Amino acid sequence: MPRVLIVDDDTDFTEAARRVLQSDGHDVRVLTFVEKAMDALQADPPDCLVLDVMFPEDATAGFDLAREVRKRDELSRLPILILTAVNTRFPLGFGPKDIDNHWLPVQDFLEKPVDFDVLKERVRRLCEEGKKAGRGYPRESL
Amino acid sequence: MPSFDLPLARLTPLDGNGKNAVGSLPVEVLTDNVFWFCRLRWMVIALLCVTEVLAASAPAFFASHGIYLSPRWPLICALVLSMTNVLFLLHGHRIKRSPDFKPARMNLLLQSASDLLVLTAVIHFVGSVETFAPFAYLFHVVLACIFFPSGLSLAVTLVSCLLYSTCVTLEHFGVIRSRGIFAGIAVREGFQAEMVPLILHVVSAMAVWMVVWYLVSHLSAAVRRRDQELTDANERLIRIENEKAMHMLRTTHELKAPFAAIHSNVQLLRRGYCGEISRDVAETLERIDARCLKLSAQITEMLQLADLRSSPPGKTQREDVRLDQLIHTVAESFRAPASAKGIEIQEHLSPAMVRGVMGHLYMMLANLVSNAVAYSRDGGRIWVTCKQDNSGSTVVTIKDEGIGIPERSLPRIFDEYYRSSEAAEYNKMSTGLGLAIVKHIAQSHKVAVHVESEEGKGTIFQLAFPPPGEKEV
Repeated sequence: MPRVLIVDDDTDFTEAARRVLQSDGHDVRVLTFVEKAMDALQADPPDCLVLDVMFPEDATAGFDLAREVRKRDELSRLPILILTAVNTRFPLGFGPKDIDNHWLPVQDFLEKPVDFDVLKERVRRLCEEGKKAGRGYPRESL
Repeated sequence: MPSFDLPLARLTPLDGNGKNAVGSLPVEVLTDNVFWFCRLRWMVIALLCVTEVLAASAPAFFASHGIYLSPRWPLICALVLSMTNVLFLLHGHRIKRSPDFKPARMNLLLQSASDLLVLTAVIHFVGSVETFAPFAYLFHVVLACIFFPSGLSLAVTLVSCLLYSTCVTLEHFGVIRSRGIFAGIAVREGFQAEMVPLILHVVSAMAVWMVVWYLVSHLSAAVRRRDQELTDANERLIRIENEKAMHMLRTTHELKAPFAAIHSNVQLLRRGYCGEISRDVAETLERIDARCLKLSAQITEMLQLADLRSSPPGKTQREDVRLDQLIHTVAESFRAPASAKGIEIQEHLSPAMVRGVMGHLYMMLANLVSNAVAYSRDGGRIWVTCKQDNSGSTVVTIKDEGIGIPERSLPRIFDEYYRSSEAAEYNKMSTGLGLAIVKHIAQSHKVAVHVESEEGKGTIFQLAFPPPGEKEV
C-alpha cells in the first residue's frame, strides 16, 4: 500500500484529504507541525510527501523543508507535491515557471482549493513514478 | 520567563551593512576608482616618455627657444610610476571582490602618496617656483576630496604642502641643485636673492591648495551625504516592497485557506465519502461549493488588483521576457480545463522579446486565456498568436469562438466588477476583476489593447507591445 505523508497545519483540510486518499488505497499519515516533519521522514520515509508552504511560524517553512529533504541522501529521491492556498497566477506566487528544479526541488504543484479527483490522480502518479525510479527521481535531475 | 519587547518603529532604520564607512564612497565605487586612477596614470607615464624623447632628441631646438629640457629624469619618473602602477593594479585585482572598503581605500591612499612623491620630483626638474607645475598638486587634492573622507583628504593636502615646501627649501639652500626648464630666463635667481618673495610665493600656493581642499571637501561631503540618503531611501523602499509582498502572500493564504477547507469537506459530502445524501442536499452543497470557489477566486483577484495599484510604475523590477515562451506556459496551464470542455487551444508563436515584469505579464495573459476558455462553447477553438509587426512591436492575439461581448458592453468591460448580463449568466464564476487587472498591467507596460467582438461569434483581444528599446514608464 503506497504511503503518503501530508504536512499541513490546516486540520479541516488534512482530515478530508486523509479520508479521500485512504479510500484510494493509500496509507496516509498527517503532520500538522512542520518542525516535526524531518524526524518523521527520516524515521519512516513515505512514498510521497504532500507539503503545504505557509505555516503559522514561518511563511516559507514548506520550501525550506523541501530543500532540506533534497540534501539528505536517504530522502533525496522522495517525490514532493506542494499544495498551497497561494494562487499560481499571483505574481509573487509559485506558478508553473517556479516548478523549476534550480529554484524549488519538487515534482508537482497544486493550488488550494483543490479538486480531490485531481489530488488523487497526482498522488497516485507520484507514488508510481517514485517506485519506478527508486523512491523518487535521481538526485542529479533535481 | 521568556519575554519579548515589541521594537519601536524607526523612520531611519538603516544601519548599513558594515562594508562601507561613514563618509566614504561605497566599496564598489572605491574599487572602480582604483582602476580608473591606474588608467589615468598610464597617460601621465606616456606624457613623461614623450618628454624624455623630446629632451633626448632635440635639446638644441628647445634651448634656442629658452627651454632647457634635461633628459633621464622623465624616463626615471615614468619607470617608477609604471612599476608602482603594475603593483597597484595587481593589488586592485586581488581585492576586486572584497566586501570590505579598507583594502580599496588603502590602495588609493598609497597611489596618492607615491604620486605625490613622483610629482614633487617632476616639479623639481620642471621648476618649483618659476612654473605652474606645483599646481598639479591640486589634482591630487581634488581627487582625495572625492575618494576619501575630509580627514584623509586634509592629510593628502598637508602632505602636498610639506613635500612642496621641503623641495623649495632644499633647493633654496642648495642641498639639491635647481635648474628648471626656464633656467635661461633667470627667474630663480630673483627668488634666490630675496627670501620674503619666495616664502610668499610658496605660502600663497599652499593657501590656494588649502582653500581648494576646504571647498571641494565640503561639496564632496554634501554630495556624499545626499548619495547616502538616496541609497538609504532606496534600500528602505526595497525592504517595504518585500514586506508588502510577504504581507500579500500571507493575506492571500489566510483568506483562501478557510475556503479551501470548506471546499474539501463539501467534496467529501458530495462525493459520498460520508454516506449517501439526498438530491436536495447534493444540490445545496453544489451551490455552497460554487460560491466558495468563486469567493476564493475573487479574494485572489482583489488582492492582485490591490497589489498592482499599490506598486508605482517603474518601481517594480523589469526584465527581458521571452513572450512566446511565456504565452506557451500560459496556454499549457489552461489546456486541461479547456480539454474538459472539448476546447482546442492552437498556438502560433514567433520568438519575441519584450521588457516587463514577468509575473504581471503572466497574470495579464492568463486572465485573457482564462476568459477565452470560460466564454467558449464546448468543442470550440482558441487561437493564441504572437508575432512582430513592421514597426518592431510585438502583437499578441487571443481569439475565441465564444459567446462574444455585446456592443454596448465593450467600453465597460475593463471596469472593475463590471460584467454584462450575458457574461454573468454564462459564467457564474466570473468575478468582474480579470479585465481590470489586464487594463492595469497593460497600461503600466505601455501595451495597447484592442478588442473586437461579435455576439455569438467570438472575441479577439489584441495586445501590441512597444518595440524593444522604447523608454520604459
